[in-house]
Amino acid sequence: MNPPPFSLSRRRMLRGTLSGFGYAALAGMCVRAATREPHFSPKAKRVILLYMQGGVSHLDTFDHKPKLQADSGKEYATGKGGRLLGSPWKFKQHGQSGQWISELFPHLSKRADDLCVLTAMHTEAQAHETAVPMFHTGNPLQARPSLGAWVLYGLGAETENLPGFIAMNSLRQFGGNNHGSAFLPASFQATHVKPGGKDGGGDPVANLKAAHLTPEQQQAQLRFLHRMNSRRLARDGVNHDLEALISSYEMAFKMQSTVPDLMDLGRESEATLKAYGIGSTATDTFARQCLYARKFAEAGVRFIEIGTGGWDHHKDLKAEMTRSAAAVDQPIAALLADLRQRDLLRDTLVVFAGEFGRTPFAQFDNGRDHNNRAFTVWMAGGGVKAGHRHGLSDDYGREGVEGRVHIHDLHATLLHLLGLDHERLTYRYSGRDFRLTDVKGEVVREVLA
Amino acid sequence: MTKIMKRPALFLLASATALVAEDMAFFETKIRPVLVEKCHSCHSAGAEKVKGGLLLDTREGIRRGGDSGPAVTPGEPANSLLLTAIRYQDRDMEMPPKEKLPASVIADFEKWIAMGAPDPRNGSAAVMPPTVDIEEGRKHWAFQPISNPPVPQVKDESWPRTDMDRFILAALEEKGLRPVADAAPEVLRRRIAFDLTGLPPDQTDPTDPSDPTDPTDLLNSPRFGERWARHWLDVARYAESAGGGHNVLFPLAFRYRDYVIDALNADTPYDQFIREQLAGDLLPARSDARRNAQLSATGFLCVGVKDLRENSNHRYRMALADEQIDATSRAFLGLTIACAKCHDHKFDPIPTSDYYALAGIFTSSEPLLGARRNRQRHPLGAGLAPMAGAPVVFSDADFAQMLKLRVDATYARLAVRDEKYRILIEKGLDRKNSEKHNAMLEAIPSVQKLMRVVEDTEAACEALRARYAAAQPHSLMAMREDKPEDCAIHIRGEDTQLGPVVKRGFPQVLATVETAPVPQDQSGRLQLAEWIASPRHPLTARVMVNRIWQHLFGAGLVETPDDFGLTGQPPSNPALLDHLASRFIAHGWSVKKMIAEIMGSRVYQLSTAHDGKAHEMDPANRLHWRMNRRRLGSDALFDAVRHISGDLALERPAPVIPPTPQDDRVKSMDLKAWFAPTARHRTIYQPVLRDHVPEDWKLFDFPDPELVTGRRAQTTVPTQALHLMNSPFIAEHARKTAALLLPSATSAETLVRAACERILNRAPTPDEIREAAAFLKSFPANDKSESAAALCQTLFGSAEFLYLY
Repeated sequence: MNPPPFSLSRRRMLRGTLSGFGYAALAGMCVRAATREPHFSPKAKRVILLYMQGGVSHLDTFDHKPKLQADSGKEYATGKGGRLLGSPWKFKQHGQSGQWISELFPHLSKRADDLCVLTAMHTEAQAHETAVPMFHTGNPLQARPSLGAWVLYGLGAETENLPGFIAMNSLRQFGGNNHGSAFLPASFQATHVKPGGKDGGGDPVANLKAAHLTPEQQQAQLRFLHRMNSRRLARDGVNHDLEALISSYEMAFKMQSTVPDLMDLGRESEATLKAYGIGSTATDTFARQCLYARKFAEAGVRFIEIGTGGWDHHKDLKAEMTRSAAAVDQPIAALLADLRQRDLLRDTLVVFAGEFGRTPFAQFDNGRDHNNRAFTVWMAGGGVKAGHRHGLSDDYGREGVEGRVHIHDLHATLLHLLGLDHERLTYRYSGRDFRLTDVKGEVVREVLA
Repeated sequence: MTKIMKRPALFLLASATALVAEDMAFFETKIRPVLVEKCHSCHSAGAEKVKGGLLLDTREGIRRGGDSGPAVTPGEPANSLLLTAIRYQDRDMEMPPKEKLPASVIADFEKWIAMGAPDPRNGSAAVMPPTVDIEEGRKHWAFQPISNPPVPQVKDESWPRTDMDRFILAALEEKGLRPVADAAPEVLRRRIAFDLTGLPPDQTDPTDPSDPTDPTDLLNSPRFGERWARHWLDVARYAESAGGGHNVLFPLAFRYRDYVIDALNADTPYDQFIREQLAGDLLPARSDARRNAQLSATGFLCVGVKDLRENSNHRYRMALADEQIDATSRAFLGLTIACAKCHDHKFDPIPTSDYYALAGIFTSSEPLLGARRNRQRHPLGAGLAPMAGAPVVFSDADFAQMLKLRVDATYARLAVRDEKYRILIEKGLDRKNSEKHNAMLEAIPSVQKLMRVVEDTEAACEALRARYAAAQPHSLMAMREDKPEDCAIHIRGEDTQLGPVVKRGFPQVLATVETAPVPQDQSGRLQLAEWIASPRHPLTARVMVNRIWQHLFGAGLVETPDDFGLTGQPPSNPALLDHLASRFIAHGWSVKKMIAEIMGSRVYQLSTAHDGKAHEMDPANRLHWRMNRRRLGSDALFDAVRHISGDLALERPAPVIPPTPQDDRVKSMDLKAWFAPTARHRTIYQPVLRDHVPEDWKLFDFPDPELVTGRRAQTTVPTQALHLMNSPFIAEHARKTAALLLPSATSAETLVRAACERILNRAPTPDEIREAAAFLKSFPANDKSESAAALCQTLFGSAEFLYLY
């Protein structure tokens, strides 16, 4: 199913507009990956991925292991490094569903009934360099399109003045594919937006403002440029590249106003800013991302990825993890509440994940090593069972024993919620039909609402 | 327990006579059903595809095992890989892969093996055919010898200008298609200039009688080597830092870059170009300059991504070899041989043993990177190669000493700290605030003594570092021979599981190329170079002419330039590919001659015009019924804009060798002094650092220097448009261009004419003049420079500038 990247045959339209072209007309011609029919009726229309780079310790957050607490300090059975390390944090059941959540997440605990928690996730990749791409592309090594690119390819964009795939976190040190389109058409890759604030300063998008021209001058310039390019297109007959170039100018022009408008926090009430934790040192960076994610979701952006790093707690778990959790707890809880209040949670799928989990035994006495055999991912909204828990890891949380869910299965499930059959969402490249899930993946039906 | 211990004896008995009924029942009820249900789909004669060479459906099969060794050793659970697999003890071998068996079932298997693995199943397990069939593999088109096919007959004798035109036209005529019209001279002039130099053509002088489409002058311009070196450096995954987790500078890598530029400008025959890059250190040289060039050439094998954090020398060496095999095989042969590291190649006829035959060649050599490994005393791969006739040399012993002192200094500092702590604790003081007591502590003789050790060690280290810095300008990044040794197969790529040792050599599927065996006392790099550079090698010339074709047409005859294997695309015109390859060899592997010949063809000189019928039958233009429109790559784009604005410094910048500080990771260095001197030079002379490729370059698809990139991505995204609309770079150069044009512009029309000529290399149409003049009027009349700059910027953003038509 390889569609042309744009829905309209724009050539005739462009030809028709050659004389007396104004920006009003230009602005009316949408530039986007065409909306496409899903394979079946979708539960979710868009995704917000909260990516916790480094590998969140499931044992200290969402996967309660009383036996680990009880046996803390004992030699770990395999003799592989270290002694068992009980969680320094207390767990409690929350909400009507009775989800076990540790005291690291006091705010999120109040949204316990929104969460669908997968506690027996697993992946092959054991190092960040392979596990991050594995999570994002389904392949640890080779260049493959990212999850967001596949979703955009499958469903197209709903936005006319914003890209359909926006990422606010940088995963560049883990290769260029985590937000990329690889062999899918380039229009499916993420546009990076900087969330501003203390750690994300600078323009939200590079080159968003012209310093050398007034808006009127630039508009005149773009009209002139559009005429030149349109005349060329008329001469070329068929030229999809040039159509894409013209479209890219149209989108760029609109982004100059839509992106700053959308990212103007002055339009948000003081209460909203406070609810997300914007302005508080501990939470500001991620709170901005969460609020922007809501705004982009509301504007119809198909796939939004935000995230923080620093979850790689090999040592000093207690101090470090307290900081990491505090940075995201309140913002995420506010995001869920805000989405629900705006009736967006219904068709927005929120996913909280890292590349793997952590070991029940200690590293450097007070930290935890990578654990790819069991970790926790949770989802909320968008057609998943709320207040539900799927899968079980062993008594120490070292590996999954029931309801194990591989990254491919998670991908299949996400696509399913969006109305896409992961086996039918294929792209022919280099003589082969490629899928996000390669030849694997099964939809985890137990988590579907 | 006692029962289990007795079982081996029982088993001997049983095997001699008949199985004890009780054991039989155990197998039938507890073991067989699990094997059938959970294992047979991948490990039985009936499996669609047998995995890991392992068959579990017979007694013989389960005991013989698969690629990793016996699955079951009767009576020895500890030596039964099957148990390791089902217990999920080995992360790479967790079986069944989908879900772990219940603990009770695993216990049954333990018990069964301890019992002696009684197994009534008879029948011999099929011997797994080797997964690679070399003879069958040789039939693949790319492994067949290069033919010199007869030039085909064509119906329209008036169209072809060269033989290659006949190959093209014959294929078109077969489909009932015709080529479109020829390109206009000014279009062709721009096309040729960018293709040969990466820069726009010089301003035309209407009185100049020479043929605007004659490429001779441009082929001889130094700009030619800069343009084509960039193509090769994409393939050579060229970068000036190690990448990976410990991304340190390769301060001498630029010598390899300059070698490539010079070799292309000198039209070094391609076979020689190969020999020099793989074994330049082993070739005779007639002068010091030649020797140094040849040494620099082996930078090809040095500049790849390295994990300098790797502590194990063995793993480090294997990783170096792996990267070198990958780059060498993709770049020169269009083969993905590195895929055969852990298992036989999934698609191509390359068994794992072929991989290790090559690995031995590379592990018998040593790269001298001039870059330290993290906290390593061992100098493997780190040293400096002295230039021929170098006045200052930093020897291996110096290097080892420098590394040792660096580590020693760290330990000496720790010793001081520990001594201070010891004293503080002794005095009952809080060691957390040792700073507070420093004066007191440093007056104590035992501390002073240790501090002197620190000072002495640091001083000695500093002296060596100064000598190192002094030697760098006289040093190279290059390969040298190491102790020649064959390499053992690493089962599943793991350094702990060694299989048979493989003699150094070349892939069997290509054994048809006559090969000098690798001598015992040499690495084999020289023989490898000769083997690849052989005119009888079926891949080498084909791969290179395809690269050349791709750079001149936008797509290769083989669309996957780095993969000529079974997963690659077959050539669109196999006879033409062979025709070109045999001419390339016949003309002494001259890249310039090949380019000139292609440029002289009519097919290269076609226009990009549309043709409804041809477009319907061949939308991707695989048959070349017209010329492809090609986007300017990031280097051509930035160089051209700078050149047009008069800002581009064309000469080669003097080398800058950045200092080597204690912490030499890119992220902790201030590199302004390194970047500044080349900022106005062609992009090829600007440093390329892994993970720090400039955002602007990446935006316009500059490739990630991690991997061999024979064909760049070509994207069109709004963030590029924003760059062309708003970036300070484009605004600055539009302004500079306008400043060049304004003094001689007497009217709006002359300004538009001059801008169009300078930026688009053609005269404007009357419509364009009218529209541009109207646009200029929308600016305040008193500010001509603003409006002229806006005009120039518009032209920079136009499709006609961004594409070669």
